Amino acid sequence: MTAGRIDRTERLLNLVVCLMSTRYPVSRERIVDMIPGYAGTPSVSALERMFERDKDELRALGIPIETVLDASGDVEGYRIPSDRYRMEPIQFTANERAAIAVAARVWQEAILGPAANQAVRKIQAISPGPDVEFDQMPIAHLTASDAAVLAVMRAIRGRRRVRMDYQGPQDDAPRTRELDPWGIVAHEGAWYLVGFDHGRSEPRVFRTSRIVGSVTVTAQDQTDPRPATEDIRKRVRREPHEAGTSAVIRVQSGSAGGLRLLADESSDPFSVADITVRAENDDLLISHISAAGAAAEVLSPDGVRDAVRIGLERARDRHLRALS
Amino acid sequence: MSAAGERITRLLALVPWLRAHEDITIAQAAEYFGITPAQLEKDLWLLVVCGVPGYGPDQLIDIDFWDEGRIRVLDPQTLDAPMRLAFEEAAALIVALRLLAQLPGAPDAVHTALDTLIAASDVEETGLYVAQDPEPLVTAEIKRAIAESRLIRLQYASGSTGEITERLVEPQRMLSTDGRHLLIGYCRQAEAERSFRIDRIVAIEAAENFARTEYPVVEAEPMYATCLLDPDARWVADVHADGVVDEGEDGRWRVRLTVFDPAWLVALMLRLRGSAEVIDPPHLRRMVADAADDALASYARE
Repeated sequence: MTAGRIDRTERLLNLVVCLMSTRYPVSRERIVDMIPGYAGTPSVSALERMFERDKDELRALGIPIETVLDASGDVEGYRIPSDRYRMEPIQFTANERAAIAVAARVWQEAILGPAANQAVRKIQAISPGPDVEFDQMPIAHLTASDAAVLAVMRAIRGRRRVRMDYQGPQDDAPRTRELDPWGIVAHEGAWYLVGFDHGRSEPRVFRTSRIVGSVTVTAQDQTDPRPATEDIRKRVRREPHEAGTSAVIRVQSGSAGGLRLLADESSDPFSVADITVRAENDDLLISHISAAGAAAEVLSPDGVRDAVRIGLERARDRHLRALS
Repeated sequence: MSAAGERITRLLALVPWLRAHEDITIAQAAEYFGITPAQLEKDLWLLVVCGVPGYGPDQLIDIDFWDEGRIRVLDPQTLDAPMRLAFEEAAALIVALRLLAQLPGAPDAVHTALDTLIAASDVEETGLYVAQDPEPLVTAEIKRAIAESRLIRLQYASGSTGEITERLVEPQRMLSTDGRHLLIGYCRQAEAERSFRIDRIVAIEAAENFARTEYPVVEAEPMYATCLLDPDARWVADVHADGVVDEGEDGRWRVRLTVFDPAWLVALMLRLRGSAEVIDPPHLRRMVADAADDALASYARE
């Protein structure tokens, strides 16, 4: 570091220590006068902007800088109250600390990995002790890497509406959506955002990987009540509705396991069986049946039977075509 | 977060952490914070020139790190305690602990740490959920078998072909990745380590106690297939593709898929019913055509 040039980090750190060191508010004039790094700024307005930026940045990091007003409503000064800044002393046992360390590793390289690691460091500072390792522990990974996840978490916590560009699987270009986010759900290896889509006036499920660019948390409050957590999860699991569609299917012995697992009735897996399979809609039902290939045959209804036959013919013909 | 912001966050956590780990070396502390020893030294040099206004000798943060790279905080000034957990920090741990807590084999400490953390951080609602295991009975049986070191007898439906097989498995642990739950164990039929998706287990039963089989770990060798996806099959690229090789002007995407089991690719192409095709290798393309033809045999009769 060259003499006379004060690093921005140094200025910010000194500001934090200064505002924590006194119970009384410190005025901006005294701050810029005392803390190295503000001196030598060409104009008063540049100095003001510099201080405001510093203050905003520290607040964005979660540092509780309070603005104290005097009797006439003017800003008297600033301070960081120790009881709002400091982490409460919590005592964890060695096993609990180890469990927390394992929990942080669940996030690996994911978007919440740095936050999880930072939390562990803080906990180790407040509740130090020897490290232990569990010899048997279930393994879990969460790999969400989309920055959208963080913005949406904040919006859910603050009950705010968000705006984002989203490109659905059939869309040729992204479209802007406004929604009240309710939750983010990991399901079958992918991450989904569930919320109330104001453009469509109904709840929708979005894949976070199809969100284009960043998510804007608006100043607008959420309007609709948030459903129960279990209902949010259910939307992502796409459980067959009562009003869904169904077909009767003959499945071969020792096969069509996927369809048997979806069936209404349980069957001896090592016998030929006629089973009833339900799905949310015809397309999903036909997909499930087609994937089973020769292990499944639709007995009824005729519409589903024909659709499966036509789909299989298309697959066959497309793969028999000579490639150009 | 700006570079300065990131560094401030680290510095504020570093001082109390170092106080709790007296005489730790620069190399150890650097590794722990995921930075280079050189960067940690820079951090320490910065800390010792900061303090409370006046900035006299008693007003600066005082850290001794001259002694063979060992660090000792002599005076932290106001930085003796860490800043309270930010929402994201608490939420990250709470989500992960909740996930671990629902898996078989999680020690009690997972549950008690979770309770303490929720109480201390006031973050009950994280907004982030892992879809719950839809098969609690299956999970309970696995839990019991692992705890009692018993073999598991399975009827298992292959995810790719739907073929149902009976297996005897030495259970080791459960693995959960983004809401996909797997049982990992040594399969006596395959004579190798296998993973079984919980939602593909048709029937499960804990059997007798077992002596663990020793076996070498063998990585499966994948092959690759090039496929053409029509617009309504593009979701495949989200879920399975290594990458979109080419976005054709006709809206068809050419993608490369990793294939561990040819039967999986065949089932996928039948599911897509002609809105996608295997371009290469030719023998896999042929397999799809044959499988579709076989399936059509039962539809030939009226």
